[in-house]
Amino acid sequence: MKAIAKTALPDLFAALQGRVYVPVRDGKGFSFGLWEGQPWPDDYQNAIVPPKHILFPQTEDLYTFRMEGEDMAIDPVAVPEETSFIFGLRPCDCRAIELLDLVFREGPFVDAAYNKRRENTFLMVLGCKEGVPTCFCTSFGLEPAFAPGADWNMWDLGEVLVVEPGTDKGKELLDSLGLFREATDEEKSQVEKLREEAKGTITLHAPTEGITELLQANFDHPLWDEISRKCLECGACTYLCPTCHCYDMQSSSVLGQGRRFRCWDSCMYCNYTLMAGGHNPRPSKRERVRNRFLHKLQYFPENQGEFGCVGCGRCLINCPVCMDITRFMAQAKEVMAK
Amino acid sequence: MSSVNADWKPLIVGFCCNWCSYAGADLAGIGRMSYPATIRIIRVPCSGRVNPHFVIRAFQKGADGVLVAGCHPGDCHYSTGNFYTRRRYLLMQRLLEYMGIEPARFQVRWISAAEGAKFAQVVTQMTEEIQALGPNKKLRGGCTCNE
Amino acid sequence: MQRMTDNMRKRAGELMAEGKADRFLGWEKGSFWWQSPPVEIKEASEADRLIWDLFCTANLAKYLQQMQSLEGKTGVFVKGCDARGVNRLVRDGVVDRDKVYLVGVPCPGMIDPDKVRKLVGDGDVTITQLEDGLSLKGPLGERKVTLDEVALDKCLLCRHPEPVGCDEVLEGTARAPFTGDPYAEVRELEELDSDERYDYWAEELSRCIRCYACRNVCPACNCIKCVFDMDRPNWLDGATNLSNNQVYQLIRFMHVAGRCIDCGECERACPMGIPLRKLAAKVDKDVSELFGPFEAGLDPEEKLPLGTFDPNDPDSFE
Repeated sequence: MKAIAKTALPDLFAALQGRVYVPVRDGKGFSFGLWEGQPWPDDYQNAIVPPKHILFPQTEDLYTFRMEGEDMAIDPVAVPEETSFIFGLRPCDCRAIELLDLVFREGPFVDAAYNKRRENTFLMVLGCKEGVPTCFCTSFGLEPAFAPGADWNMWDLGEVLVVEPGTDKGKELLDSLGLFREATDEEKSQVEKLREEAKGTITLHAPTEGITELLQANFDHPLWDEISRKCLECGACTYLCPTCHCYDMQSSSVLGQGRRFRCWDSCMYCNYTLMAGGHNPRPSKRERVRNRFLHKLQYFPENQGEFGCVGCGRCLINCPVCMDITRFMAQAKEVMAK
Repeated sequence: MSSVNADWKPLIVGFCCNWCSYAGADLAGIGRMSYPATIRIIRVPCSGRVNPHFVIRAFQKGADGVLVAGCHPGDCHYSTGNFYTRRRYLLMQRLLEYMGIEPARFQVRWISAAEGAKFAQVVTQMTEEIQALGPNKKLRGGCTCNE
Repeated sequence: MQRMTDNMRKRAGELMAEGKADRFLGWEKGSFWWQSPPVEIKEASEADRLIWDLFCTANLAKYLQQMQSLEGKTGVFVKGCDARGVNRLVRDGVVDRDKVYLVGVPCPGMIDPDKVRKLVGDGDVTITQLEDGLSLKGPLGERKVTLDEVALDKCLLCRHPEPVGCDEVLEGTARAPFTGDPYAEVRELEELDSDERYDYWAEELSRCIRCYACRNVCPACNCIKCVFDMDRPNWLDGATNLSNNQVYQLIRFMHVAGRCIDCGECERACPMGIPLRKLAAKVDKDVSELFGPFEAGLDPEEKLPLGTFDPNDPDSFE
């Protein structure tokens, strides 16, 4: 375990060779953006938009094309080789990236662009001292102030930041930087205390036990009608979800040149499953809302062996009509179990 | 703008109504009136056919200026089409300005079939104004990522 | 508040029992102190779920669109802005007024949870109504404030807190209508030069993630198939970049021009905090300046400014 004064953070950011993403004040909250010399924001809780866009950009070129006389030339788009540092992401978002790894890196298909970015990215997790009322990470087995998959785990002790590397590449990086000193025993015990106390600050609970089996048996339950009635079918929940990863592929062109790109898509949109002949297997919001919840709580466990939700609470905060996955789970347990 | 290449010429997209302004443009041609070769004319049945999206998309895809031209109010071939055009674009002109688009880049003119000279003059004047502003970068995009 | 809640439950129950409404739209208490989301009551016996507090912000008018295909009448509680939203949908031919029973609720204005959080923190927050204001209790302590100190900006500028065109109005006191200049913020932006305004909007709109929450929550956005959901022609592709985001908002506000009822739901729904009401207000202001004073949604028979014309309209086009 090592330590660094928080006032020395700009020196640390400057010493990191690559793109350094930190929480930057943006609109009504924070988002992850490039560090441009600004001081560390002490009131940072979590970013509105999760840092998944750094690994999986909302819009990403696949190739470009242009007319050359009668022929069309196609140019591949290279994924930047540059190293990225995501500094200050929270344990829930780190866990979410591990879940994205299961989809993009560890499944039968490896997504080249994601894989390349992921290899070159350091996840430097800042443990949460305390949750906000919408946090329920502990329900999914997470620890609010520790991320097992992080390259670094960090804890804010007021004046200093204590760092513990979690991976070999994280350790190598930490050892290569001269800005740190060894953490004192006092600091180490403070970290232990912080980790322990943080757990108690997560007050929201989502009943996960047996939920997958319950949902498997209740695909056509009337509860789906009831809970979906108020949904407005916007994409706020999916776009702000750190584990949602659906995308569409489209192209655009002008004056003989253009590009093929992929862009985030949302299962809440009416076009999402629309077929070329006009048929839509998910014709109404009942099916769309069901799909979103089932993906997190049934399909992800079935396909990847893990829940697809990390309890970050973004959908609870940002849904214009307060759709609440924890409430749904409790309701399902009560109503569907009968 | 000092950075503008002296050889640069603006690209103007002109939506001309079939009954007046397109004929006016034709008259300018028949009368061999000279005006800058900066405008690409798109013929529409009525200026009322011009959807705000056409205008914005023209900017998006690379136009430096957009002209919507129709019959003089009261002379619409369909009686009232251009009255709606007028309301729609009075509003959109202000909205575009509010978003930061220079007013010279989006213009609406009433040009009758007999006004070949006015068509030539409008294009000349619009070209000069946009030439002074330089290439349009605002609203532009769609062909590269995160423009 | 409690009296209004009791009243709402009672009236909803009565109206459903009398057969004047087959279902009721109102608000229920959500999972957190700052949430009172929409709820659909299907039986008179469920009327106890209804509540009325200072977080009943969601505009219920929008839901009438999906109720149209149902048999019978839908009862709905409406604040000033909801009532105008209903008029909007009726005027647009989307909702049949005869299938709706409107119960007006005079609106005191709704709370902006962020303003409360700044004062007393988040978590265990209780808000109590006093004779002359509110008492806020939270982790950071206790504060006594007036409602206006913590009200949503859109409510502070509300010109019609008293619902219009209802079948009945519950007893209660609405806030005083705003009588000042509703376009002060627009004028400030208008003072800037083109490039400054462009930069301002570029910065705001570059944040847009195109979740379409602003569109989907909007009572004026009631098209069966939205232009932005179209494939052929593909009016706007799915790439999220500044240009596409600008086009999206420009076109959306042209589409709702003269129809926007200024309920401010777009801005509330936006997770990215984009000041969308400054665009709505700009269009609203210009419609009135150009075509005569007009406020949308006050009359279900109103003439739409862009759906009509006057031969003597101003003309700067030469």
